[in-house]
Amino acid sequence: MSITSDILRGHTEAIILANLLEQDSYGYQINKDIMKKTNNTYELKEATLYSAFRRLEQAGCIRTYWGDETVGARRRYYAITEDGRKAYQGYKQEWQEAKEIIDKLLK
Amino acid sequence: MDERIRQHFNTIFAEAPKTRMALDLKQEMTQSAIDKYNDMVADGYSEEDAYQNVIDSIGDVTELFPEVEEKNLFALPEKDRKKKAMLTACAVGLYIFAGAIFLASGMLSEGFGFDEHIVMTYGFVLAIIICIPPTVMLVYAANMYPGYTKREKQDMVDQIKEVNHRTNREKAVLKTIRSLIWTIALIIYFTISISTFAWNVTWIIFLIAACVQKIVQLVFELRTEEKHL
Repeated sequence: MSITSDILRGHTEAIILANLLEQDSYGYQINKDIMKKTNNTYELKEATLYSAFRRLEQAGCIRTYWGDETVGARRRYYAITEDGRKAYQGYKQEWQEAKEIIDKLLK
Repeated sequence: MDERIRQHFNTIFAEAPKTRMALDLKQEMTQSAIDKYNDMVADGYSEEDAYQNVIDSIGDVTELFPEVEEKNLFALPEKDRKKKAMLTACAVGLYIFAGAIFLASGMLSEGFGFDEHIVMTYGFVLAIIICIPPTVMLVYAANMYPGYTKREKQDMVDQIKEVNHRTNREKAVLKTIRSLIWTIALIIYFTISISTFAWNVTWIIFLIAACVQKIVQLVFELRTEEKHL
């Protein structure tokens, strides 16, 4: 399990970008979606998630805006940018290549 | 229980940099933890179990602190920010001074009966020359991006950041050169025109300036292309 979570943590940024491709979202919602997609087996640590948000934002891959909730606390939403889409495509391709190589090596 | 979660975040963020970004981050993470806590309680977990689970899933926040130290491209350290404000203030002052010189030249020619055209054109040229330093100062101030420091981790985000930073710098330098070319062209135009009175020919200086600008741009692009290859 520790290898799995190490690998997953290394791809936090790509996982977030993939999630934001579907729709704008906020931190907790993204983590909930990740849990749902992995049948409750994987959850990002909050620190890991928000650290990735900051890096993606500084790189211009995502932008943020404050939601207009009328009840309860206001949430900070994240949206993917054009640069983010490009980064995601590049990342996906790299992952495909890496996956093929590892599959070949571990056969 | 919300208060207990807030307290916990206050404790773990005690050593965080005192920046707006850090504060925003703390609030965002606190809200997220409270959301999760409420969901878990609604799902039937005991309050204590939910609290423990939420606290455990926070992870190590100290790894976040370097990110919120306002090191991004637009935030400058305090020292540079002061310098930038100073430069801008001086530049504005010089512009006003230039305007005053021009107005004074107008009044001078009226009041003392000098040849109005000559005094006013000299006043204008002088005003334009005075405008050079503030223009350079403003362009320089706009050019003050903090250097992007490479961390040990070099991932796709860092690469993009580096490229962005590099192009920002290049754009700023090109902008400085461009504004210099046009200011110098304007000065040459008025100086030659006034001394020769060949107003009908001297406009060609602006065409030359346009050519020079294009050449500079071309040289610049070729050079950066070489650098990137």
